[in-house]
Amino acid sequence: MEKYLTLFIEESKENLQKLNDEILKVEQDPEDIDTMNEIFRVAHTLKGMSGTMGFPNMEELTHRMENILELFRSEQLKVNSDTIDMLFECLDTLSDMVDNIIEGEGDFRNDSLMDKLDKIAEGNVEKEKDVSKKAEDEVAATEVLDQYELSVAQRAKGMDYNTYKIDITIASSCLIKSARAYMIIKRLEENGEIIKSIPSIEEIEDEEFDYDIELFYVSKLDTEEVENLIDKISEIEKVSVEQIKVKDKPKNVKTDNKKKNKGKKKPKKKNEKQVSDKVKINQSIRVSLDKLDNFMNLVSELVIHRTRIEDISSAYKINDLNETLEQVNRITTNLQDLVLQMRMVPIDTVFNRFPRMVRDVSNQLGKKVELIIKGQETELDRTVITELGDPMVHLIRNAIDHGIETEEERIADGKDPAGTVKMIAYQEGNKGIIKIEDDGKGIDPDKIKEKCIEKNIDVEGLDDDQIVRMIFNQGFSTNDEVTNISGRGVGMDVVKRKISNLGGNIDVKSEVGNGSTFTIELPLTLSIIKSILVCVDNENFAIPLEFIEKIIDVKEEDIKMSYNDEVYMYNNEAVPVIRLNEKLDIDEDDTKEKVMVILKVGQRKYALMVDKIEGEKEIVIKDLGNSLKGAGYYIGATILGDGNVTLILDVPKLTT
Amino acid sequence: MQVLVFELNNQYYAINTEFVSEISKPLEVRNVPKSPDHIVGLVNLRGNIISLMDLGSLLKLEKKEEEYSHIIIVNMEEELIGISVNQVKEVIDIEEDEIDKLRRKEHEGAIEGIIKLDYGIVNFLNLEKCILEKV
Repeated sequence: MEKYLTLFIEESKENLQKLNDEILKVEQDPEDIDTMNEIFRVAHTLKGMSGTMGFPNMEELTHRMENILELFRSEQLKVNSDTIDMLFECLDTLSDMVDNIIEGEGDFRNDSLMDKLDKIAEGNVEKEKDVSKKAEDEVAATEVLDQYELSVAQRAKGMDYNTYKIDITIASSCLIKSARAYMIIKRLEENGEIIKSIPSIEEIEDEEFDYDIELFYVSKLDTEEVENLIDKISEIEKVSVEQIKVKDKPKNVKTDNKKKNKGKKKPKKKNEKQVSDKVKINQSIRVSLDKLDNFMNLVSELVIHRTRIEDISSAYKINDLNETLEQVNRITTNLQDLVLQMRMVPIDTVFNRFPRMVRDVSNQLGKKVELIIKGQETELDRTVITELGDPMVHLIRNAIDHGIETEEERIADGKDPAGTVKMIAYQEGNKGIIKIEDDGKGIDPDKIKEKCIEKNIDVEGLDDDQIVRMIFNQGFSTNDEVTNISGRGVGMDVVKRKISNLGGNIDVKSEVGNGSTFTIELPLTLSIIKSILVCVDNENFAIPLEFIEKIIDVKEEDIKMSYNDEVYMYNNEAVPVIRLNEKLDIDEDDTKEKVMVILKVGQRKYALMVDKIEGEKEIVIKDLGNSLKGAGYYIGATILGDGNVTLILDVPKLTT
Repeated sequence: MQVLVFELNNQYYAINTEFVSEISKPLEVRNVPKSPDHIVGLVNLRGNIISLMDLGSLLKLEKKEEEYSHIIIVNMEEELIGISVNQVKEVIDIEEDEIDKLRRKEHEGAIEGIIKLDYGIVNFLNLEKCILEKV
C-alpha cells in the first residue's frame, strides 16, 4: 500500500486543484453542463481513491460534497457565492486532510462541515421529494459508473436490458479465488455483459483482491434469475443483486425532427463524442524528481568530459578522433535537449492556484477584481517553477491589496468598477518572461521618496523610474497600515532575491493612476547554459550569455567621468562602468587594452570592464555549497574542459 | 570510536571518522574572491566542486607556510568540505573515556578534549561546532 500512497497524494492534489478550477468556472457559468460533469467525475475519482486507500473521513466528506453537486445538477440548489463558498470550504478541508496524510497523521473528521452539507442537502430534498427521489435513482447509476460505462448502460436500457449491481463475497475457505471469480464472470457473461468490475478483471485474474467483488452487469434476466445464476457456484459466501435505474440518455436522435423547437438549447450535448476524445490519454509515466535530477547530473558530467576530450584531441591533434567526437557531440547535445525538455513544466502549475486566490483575497478586501491569465502553457524548468510560487503570490496579493482601488474610488476616477490583474507568460529567446499587470492606482514616486528619506535611503538625483525601483530595497513597505494580505516590510526585496537566486531579474514600471507592471525574466533552464569566459588578473569567470549584449575592445581613455561615476558611451548612451577587479578586490593586469562587456539586466545596461575574453563555453552550473552561500557575486561554479574550476558571476547582484 | 589523527601547524588533531568521506592528494585550488577568510577556495574532486576550508583559520591558529600533504574530505550535513592538513598520521580506535574533556575556555566548542598517545597529545575536534557553527 505504501508505494501507492505517494501516487495517491499527488493525484489527490491534482484532483483538488482541478475541482478548484472547475468550480470557479461553474460559478461564472452555472449552466455549463460539461464542466459540471467534469466536476462529478473528478470528485468521484477522489472519493473512490480515498476510500481505497483507507481514508474514510476523506471519503465521507467527498461523498457529502457530491450530494451537493448533485443538487446543483438537478437544479434543486442554486449556484451562488454562498454555496460555492461552501464547496471551497470542502476543498480546503480536503486539502488539509491531504496535508495531514503527507505528515503521516491520516485524515481527520470535520463534523461541523459535514452537518452543514447535510443540512443543505436535506433542506432541499424535503422541499421537492418527488424530484429528489428520481434524482436519487440517477445517483445510483451516475455515482458508480463513469461516462462511458453509463452510456453503455443507457444504450442497454433502450434495448430492454436491466443494469445490476452485484456484490459477491467469496468464502474465505476458498483456495483459488481467481478461479472462482472467473467462473462467476464466465457464467454471467453467457447471459449478458459485465460493464464494470471492482477490482478490475486483470486484478481478479492476478488474484489481487480480498474476497469481495463488485460487478456491474447488464442483462435481460431479472434479479432472481441473476441471483440463481451465481448461487449455483460453490464456495460463495454471499451474493446481493440490486437493480439500478439508469437515466435515459439525452435524446439526440429524436430531437432531430423537432430541431427548430427553440434556439435556446446550446449545441452542448456532445457528451458521448467528447468521451471518446477524452479517452485518448497521453501515454506517460510518473518519474520521481530525484531520478530526473540524477539523470540531469549524469548528462552534465558527460558534457564536461566531452569538452575535455575535445580539448585533448585538439591539443594532440588526433584527427582520427574527429569523426567519433562529432558523433559524441551530436548525441550529448540530443541527450541534453531531451533531459532539459523532460524537466520542463508548463507554468500553469503555478498559475492555476491564482484564480482561487484572487477570488478569496478580493472578497476579503471587498474589491472587485478580474484575473486574466495568458500564456499558461509556457514551459520552464521544474526547479524554476517550484521556486516561483511564493514570489508570484506576493506580487499578486500586492497588486490587489495596494494596486487595485476600492469600487467607489474606481468609479470616482471614472474607471471600470472592477479592477483587472493580468498574468502573462511568454518565451523570448532563451528567456521566460512573466508579466503581472494591474490597472490600479500605480506606485506614486513621491510617496516612495518620502518613505526613503524617512528610512535614510539616499534617493538624491534619481529619476521617477529609479525611485519606484526602490521598493525592491530592503525593509520597504509603502502601505501605512500593515494588512494581513500583503504583510509587513519584508516583501519585495525577498521577491527580488528569490528571482535573482533563480538567475532571473525583476523590474517594475508604474504610472500613477494607470497601474503597475512587474516584469520577471527567467532563464528557461537552469543547469546547462551558454556563457562567455572573461579574465581578470589571470583568473577567469563565466558570465551567462543571456545577460551579454555586446563585447567591445576599449582603452582606459574611453571611460569618461560623469560627476563621480565612470561611464562608457555606448550607442550614445552613458552606461555606468563596473570594474570587475574592483568589485572582486583583485588586481588587474597592467595592459591598457581592456574589454568592455555590455550587460543588459532587464531594461538597464551596464559596462563591465575586464582584462580579456577567453571565449564562449557551454557550462554546467554546479551549486556552491552552504559554506559559500551568499559570499561574493556568484550563482555557482563550473568545471572547464581542462578540469579547472571557474566561478559563474551573478550578474543582477553584480549590477546592484 | 574510530578517529583519524592528522597534523596541522605542528600539532596533532583527531576527528571522528564518521564524518570522513575520503582522503585525497592535494588538488589545484581555485581562489574565490570576496569569500570568508576560512575558505581557501574550490577544488575539483572528480567532477564535484567542493569548498576547501582552512582549519587553521577556523581554529584561529597562526598562519604558517607549510606544505599540505593531503586533503581530508568530510561530509557535513550533506555537503562535502575539504580540509588541508600537513600530514595524515593514522586511524585508531579509542574509547570515549580516553578523551580528557577540556574545561578551558579557549576553543571551548571546537576542541572537545585531548587524547594522550605515545607520540604526543592529540586535540580531539568537534567538527560540527568547528565547521558549521564556526566557534
